[in-house]
Amino acid sequence: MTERKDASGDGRRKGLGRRRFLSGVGASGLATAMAVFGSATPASALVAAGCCNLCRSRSGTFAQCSSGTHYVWSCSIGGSAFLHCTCCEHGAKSGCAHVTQSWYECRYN
Amino acid sequence: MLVVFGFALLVLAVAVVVLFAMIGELAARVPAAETGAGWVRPTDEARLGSVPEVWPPELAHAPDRDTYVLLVLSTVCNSCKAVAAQLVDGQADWDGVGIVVSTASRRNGDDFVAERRLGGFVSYVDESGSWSREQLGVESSPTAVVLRRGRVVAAYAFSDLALLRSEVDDRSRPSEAKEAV
Repeated sequence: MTERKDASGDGRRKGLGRRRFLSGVGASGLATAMAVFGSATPASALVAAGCCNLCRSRSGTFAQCSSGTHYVWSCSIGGSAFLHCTCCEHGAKSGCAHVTQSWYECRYN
Repeated sequence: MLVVFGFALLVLAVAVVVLFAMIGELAARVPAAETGAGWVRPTDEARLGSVPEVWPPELAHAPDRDTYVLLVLSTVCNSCKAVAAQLVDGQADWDGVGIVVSTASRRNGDDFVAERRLGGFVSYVDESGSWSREQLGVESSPTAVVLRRGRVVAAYAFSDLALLRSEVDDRSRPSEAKEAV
């Protein structure tokens, strides 16, 4: 009777150890995944339009975008034709978090 | 049995993580595909013949060089990423080049330099693009401004840095130099 009790206690201890080991394995895996994928750069959220790289999808007009705090710049890209784009971000002072409107226009030269 | 299964699962998870990391690294290194071959074309956008009145401290040495090239890139310019990749991967030995990063904010410009691994080059973060616009007459990217003793002698829109460098080298040869003074 006593022997049976001891055997059952050993089994419980072994099961507990196994569970701790497996939870350690799981936690290590999660930590590795977070270290690798958790460091995504803000650039991954940018919207590519023509040769522009904007914080948001195009909305509103150029006049609205280029009023107040804004940043306007042009870009060009080659190939079979020469594409020239005007890119605008409204409210762009420190990262995409402050950009409230993006606008662009492209034409082939 | 469970321990073996758990270990196999861990190995599998690590393999998947490494695979994705490799794919990400490759994607970051391969320049965005463009249709057609690389090109370099002169642009009259810059103030040819002028000498900037103000030099940022980062570029203060530029007027002392016989020939110096400023690559004007921008944080909102998608095609500039490919130029930055070409610079890092194929033209790292080009010491006669400085980078001007036109940007909405200092933070964006610093992020661009760090993310594009441009830390080894002379670079100036040009907030609002005001220096490029006012002193060089440039408000488009990617643009290369060729300086001779600080004077703007040529400007190019381009997609291929090797072609651009060859064009600049040709221009720098005394017999072929055609300065726009």
